[in-house]
Amino acid sequence: MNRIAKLVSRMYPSAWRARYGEELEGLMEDKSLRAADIFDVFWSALKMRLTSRSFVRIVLPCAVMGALVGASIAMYTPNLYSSRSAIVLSARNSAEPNQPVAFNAGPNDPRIVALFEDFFSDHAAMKSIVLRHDLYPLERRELSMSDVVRKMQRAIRVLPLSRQVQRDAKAASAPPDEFAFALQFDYPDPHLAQQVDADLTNLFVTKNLARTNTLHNHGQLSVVASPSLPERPTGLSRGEKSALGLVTGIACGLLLAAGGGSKRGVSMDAAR
Amino acid sequence: MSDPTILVLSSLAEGDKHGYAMMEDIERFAGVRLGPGTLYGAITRLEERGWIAPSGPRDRRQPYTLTSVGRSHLRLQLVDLDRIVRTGQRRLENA
Repeated sequence: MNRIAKLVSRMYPSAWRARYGEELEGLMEDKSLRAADIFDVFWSALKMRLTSRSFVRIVLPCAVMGALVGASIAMYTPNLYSSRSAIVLSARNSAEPNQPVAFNAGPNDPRIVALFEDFFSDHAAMKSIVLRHDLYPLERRELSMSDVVRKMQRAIRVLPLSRQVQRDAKAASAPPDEFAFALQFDYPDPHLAQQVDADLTNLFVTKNLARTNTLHNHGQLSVVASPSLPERPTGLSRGEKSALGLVTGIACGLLLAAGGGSKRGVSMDAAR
Repeated sequence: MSDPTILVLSSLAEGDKHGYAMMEDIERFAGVRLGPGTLYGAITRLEERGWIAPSGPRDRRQPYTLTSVGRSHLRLQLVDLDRIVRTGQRRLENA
């Protein structure tokens, strides 16, 4: 127990240890210590560290700096809302619905890839969506329309859905041989994100409905979940980014203070 | 009543003591078992304020003595505490 207490007592600032360390060790050797005594030493050393002037001088500016960096990042990166629709390509035979049919096309199948390439290369349709919803007003002042369309394309994501999600999205009777994916659009306005995702989903379906049959004689393309209205921003909100900056600043300050405090020593004011 | 600084000052009012003796004395007269960290936190504060001072040469079992300023401070604190105790007792009796 005394060995643990000695180890714990090393948490005290070095300046304090230089003055009182031996006395404290002497006292701990004389006394039969309990677990509560070790916690008492730990707690007192921690309080002394946290209230020392040099500690506050290091941690406080780091915390303020971290919060400022976090807040600046939050200011310049607006919250993004993601709207998603779920689309299923299936090999269901509508003429014989109970007949199992092998679909045999995964996300890397060149025929599937071709569907998306066609969708993404339709710049004219995407440009009309940008204009219809008045998307990216600031960027449209500074960038060419093709650059704005490219920016919009970067906000579109195609996410293959797992089997579990497929089962949730579709009726239980859905055949297992299918390829399901989410078509996602990210935008700072949640309502616009939903409206644009609806347009993109329509575009994808109308462009590829006929082509689906090239995948399979009875291939079907269906929207199983209409575009969602996102309630929360994707990733961290502005407040969370600022808070993360603050926490990171404090953590950096603590590391610096712990390293620097043990080398330079800490003011005896810490004991106040 | 469990303020470690008052307890340490009260213990030293009897005469010079080192840390271990203070702990034993405080436990005996106040029924409070001060931890080593709490005791040395109080000793640090009291020495910085000039209310106690090390007596004799530096040693692992360093005795401390109550200074005259510390004695005056303790007296004032005890008068305040006494007033609070008397008021509390009177109010309890009248309730």
